[in-house]
Amino acid sequence: MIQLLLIIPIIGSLLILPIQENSIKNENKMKTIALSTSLINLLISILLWVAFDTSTSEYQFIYEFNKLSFCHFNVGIDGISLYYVLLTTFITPIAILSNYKNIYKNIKYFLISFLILETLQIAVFVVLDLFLFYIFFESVLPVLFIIIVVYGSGENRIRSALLFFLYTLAGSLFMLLAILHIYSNVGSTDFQLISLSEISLQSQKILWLAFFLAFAVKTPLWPLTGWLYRAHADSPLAGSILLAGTILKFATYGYLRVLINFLPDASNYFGPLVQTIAIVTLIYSSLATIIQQDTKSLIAYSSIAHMSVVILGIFSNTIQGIEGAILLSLAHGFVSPALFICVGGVIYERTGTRIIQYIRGLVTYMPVFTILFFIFTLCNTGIPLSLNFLGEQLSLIGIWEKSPIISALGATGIVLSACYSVYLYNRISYGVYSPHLKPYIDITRQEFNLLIALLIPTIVLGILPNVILYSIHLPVSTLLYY
Amino acid sequence: MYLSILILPLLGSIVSGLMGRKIGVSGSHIITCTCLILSSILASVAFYEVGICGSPLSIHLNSWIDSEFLSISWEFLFDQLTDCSMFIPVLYISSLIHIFSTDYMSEDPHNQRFFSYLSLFTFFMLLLVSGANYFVMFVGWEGIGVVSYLLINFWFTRLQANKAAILALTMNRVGDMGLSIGFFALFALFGSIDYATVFSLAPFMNETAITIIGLLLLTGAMAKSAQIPLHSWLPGSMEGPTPVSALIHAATLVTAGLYLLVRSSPLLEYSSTALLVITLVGASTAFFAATCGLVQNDLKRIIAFSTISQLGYMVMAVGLSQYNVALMHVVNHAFFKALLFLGAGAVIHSFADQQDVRRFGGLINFLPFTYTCMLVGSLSLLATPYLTAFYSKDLIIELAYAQYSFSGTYAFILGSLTAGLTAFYSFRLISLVFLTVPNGSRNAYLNAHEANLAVIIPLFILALFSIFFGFVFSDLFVGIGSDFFANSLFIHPNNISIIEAEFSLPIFIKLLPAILSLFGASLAILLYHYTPNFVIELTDNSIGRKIYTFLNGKYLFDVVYNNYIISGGLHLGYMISKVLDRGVIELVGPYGLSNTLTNTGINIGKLDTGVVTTYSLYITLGLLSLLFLVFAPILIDTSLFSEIRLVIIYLAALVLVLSPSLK
Repeated sequence: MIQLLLIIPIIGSLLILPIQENSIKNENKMKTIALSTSLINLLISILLWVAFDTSTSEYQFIYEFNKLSFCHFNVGIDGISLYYVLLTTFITPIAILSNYKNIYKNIKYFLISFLILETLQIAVFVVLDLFLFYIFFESVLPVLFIIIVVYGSGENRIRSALLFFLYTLAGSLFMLLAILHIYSNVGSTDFQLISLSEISLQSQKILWLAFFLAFAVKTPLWPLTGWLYRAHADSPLAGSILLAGTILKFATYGYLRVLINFLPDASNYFGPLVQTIAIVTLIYSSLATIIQQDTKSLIAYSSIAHMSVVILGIFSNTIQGIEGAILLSLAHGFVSPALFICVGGVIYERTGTRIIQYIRGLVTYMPVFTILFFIFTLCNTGIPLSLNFLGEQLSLIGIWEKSPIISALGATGIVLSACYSVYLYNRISYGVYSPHLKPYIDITRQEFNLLIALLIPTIVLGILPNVILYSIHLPVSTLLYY
Repeated sequence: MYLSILILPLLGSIVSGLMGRKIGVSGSHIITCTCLILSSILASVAFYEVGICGSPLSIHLNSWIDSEFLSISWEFLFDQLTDCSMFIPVLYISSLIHIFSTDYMSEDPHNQRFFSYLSLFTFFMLLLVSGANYFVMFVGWEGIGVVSYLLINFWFTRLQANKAAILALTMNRVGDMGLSIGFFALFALFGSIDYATVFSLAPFMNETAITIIGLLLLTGAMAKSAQIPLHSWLPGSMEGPTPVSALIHAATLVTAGLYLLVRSSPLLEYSSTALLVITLVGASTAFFAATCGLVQNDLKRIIAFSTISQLGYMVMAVGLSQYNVALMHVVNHAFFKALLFLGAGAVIHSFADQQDVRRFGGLINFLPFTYTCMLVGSLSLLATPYLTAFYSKDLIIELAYAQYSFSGTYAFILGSLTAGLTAFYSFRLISLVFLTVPNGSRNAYLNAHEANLAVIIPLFILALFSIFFGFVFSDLFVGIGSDFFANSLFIHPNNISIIEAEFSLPIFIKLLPAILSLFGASLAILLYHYTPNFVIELTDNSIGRKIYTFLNGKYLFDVVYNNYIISGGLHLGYMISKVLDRGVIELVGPYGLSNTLTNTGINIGKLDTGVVTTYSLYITLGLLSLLFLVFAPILIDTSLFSEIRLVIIYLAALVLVLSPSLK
């Protein structure tokens, strides 16, 4: 089943490839193919979820490809990766739909790159081999680079794309070295073999730092955050959605799968360091968020703050903390794309600006949009009944056991997130309608459906998180360090 | 039945909010009011079952979070505290405010939205008081915060409303932060955040830990119940429509903090430190708000400060361990404060939307009914004997003295003074609005009229409650030996002081608050009605003006917050964003790196000058250094360390020699 997930998007992009990009009819055909491919993938992943056995912490649906002598490719999922796969297959159709109507040039390659990205992202979460993990972890870079440069909107997009590329690549170099070291010692890069082998604390520490650097760039943790808000601000909407929704989750997944799983002693040893960095990131980026003037970079900055709470949860070494971190990263995967659709899609398409100060009083003409925007703003602040709330609270409950001070400092995010989110919402939506804006139509049916599609899982899982929790209890409990 | 009490307001809200266009204005009125009234009737039945018959119950719906030993359920608890002390005032007052609003908001174009918000607010309030663990309570807690943001922001085009709403939300979030940390601590200590588990284990726990938890819960309560120093959102939030002020700031939202403290009574009772802090905070707040209320000129703001002051009394009562008295005051206060707010709303509405008390006067002849209601409300607020508040407010002051302790005496002195001040500002309001010479415009007087039935009925009912409720129910709530609250409240046997309060106080102490109230009220009427010139002269000198500015500026709390805390935070954010993120990190990181590489390339390129003498210099230097490198170890017989030093010296010399050509 997993191989289907990986192959279908590629088949879809191959189907799109021969179509000529000359008429509206053809364009619609390509869009339909891309969308239906990603929807089929979503369906398959849901079937995967249904068939998933929650009573074991082992990898399931394992598929090994070793027919060719030089190629050994094995995939499988467990409770942790299952939800990231689901998130990817869920976000991809939304990303495709969000730029359905406003890409006028090169739509073909736009769609193809998103389908390929879907395959690559799913591959990151399902491969059971450290080296393949590295390859796919890096492989999204060129595609996203192209998306930002070709389809982006900002004037500085080339520099942004370059920064994004360089930051991630520079961090990952160390990961590659670490993987080579592991390979030379263990003799394999297979996940299960690595987790069985003993690595001495001394080398664990060095390996840990190398992996951590790669993931810290991706998370991102301060001071390696420079690429995030630029890449978000200058990429097209769909790119932002993917970046916030799934690509930031590579790091979360990496922490869980590699650092905690393979290097437990070092993770424990470096726990205080990580907590300090996460707290610094949380408070600094929250304070910096408040003064952002670009709506998209404001939301990008707020992602940094949320991801640092995720880090706190992951390194709490408690079941609550790790489960909370997984919940929060999923919640962030729903809410952040939704906010990007709100400000980068709905508002930007109508007003043509992303500067907060230019927009005022949208509620006068766009009441329905404002309601949805308000709900997502609240979810972003971690309001109860949303998945974000549970994630945040569980993460902080988890970290309390390690250090109450860190937990209390982490809770400042509750105040700060309210400050910037409500400032953004209030500034844009309320007040007298700005005389420099034309009367705009309320959100279209398509935008409405997109937002609702993101809202439903946030709220439903916020009320019944056990749907997810039941299947991650076992894999999470194997991550604990005694 | 119990769950339908909760669900009905939500249904009303959904119908009115999401289908407002279909059902129309009157449809929305009918549906929301019907839902609320039905819910109130059911709550009355529940009051009979739970309160009178004494049969509390809990309803377990579903598991919410299940993670290792953290197990939280969607569970609701209907006991005496929930049902009698919170459901009744919340639902009754909410229903009356719904009815009042049908007239008050009738000219507003957003009726459906307004009623949807009102009902939603009621729903969250009910959720708050009926949750059986701290997390379910927190859902309601945050819900009322959000809906109050929406309600304060109801007239969203007004900048003042926007500011007040943001302030209310963010300041409440400060409390939420404290409360959240409290939950973490609770979970770490008890392994559960169910009321039942936590309260039954509280006696066996470390007192310091309980103190910390108690103080964290107090932080949450301080923000919601507007205690110093987290009070400043409440006066500002008077920017919302008047029914909102009545609903949020009199009866319901602000009592949420009180509810939290009262609900946590089995916890707080085991920490005398937390109780001491609570007493001090409450007493100080009561006095502070009363002094601010003396010199406010906005009709609603005066009542808002009165609310903060009364909340101070309630918190003080909690600190004195007299939870049932605090609850009695919550209920009483809900009735008479709602009456005052709705009366104020009626005055404002009938007098050309004027809110400045200096521009009223002589309305007693125009609005006799409203005047009566306001007078009843004010007298009740003053704790005039046998009116409602007498049975709680007076008792709180007496109980404070009966502690015979430092904190008790502190609370007693401030409480008595506050009683005098309360009388003063209440009668200042009555006197300025209704009694003195007319100060408004002629047109406003010509159009002044009593409101219609939808306003009169709620006012009348609330006035009845303000007069009789205390007399009828005081024995049930605060009577000596009443076991009405059964297990829902816990007062440690050492802390019970009602008997001392009833029988041991000197008669002078008992009468002191009443005397001060009488004095304050008479002084207010005298000053503002008979000798207004004297009041003007009083502040017409430098000291008077300074005191006036200080009090009118609410002890300059806002100035401190705005100039130091908030601007400091923004400045820090600016520094981080501009100086660190886009400055230093950029210079050291990507920009600096690319810059350095480019410059180095350019500089090395510059070495290639094309002049033969330069090349001969390079060759000579190269040769010299090579010779040096080869022979240095022989010439100077040294160890490895000094060799490295030599190499460094050599490299430095090389750079020094070449540096002219690098430019």
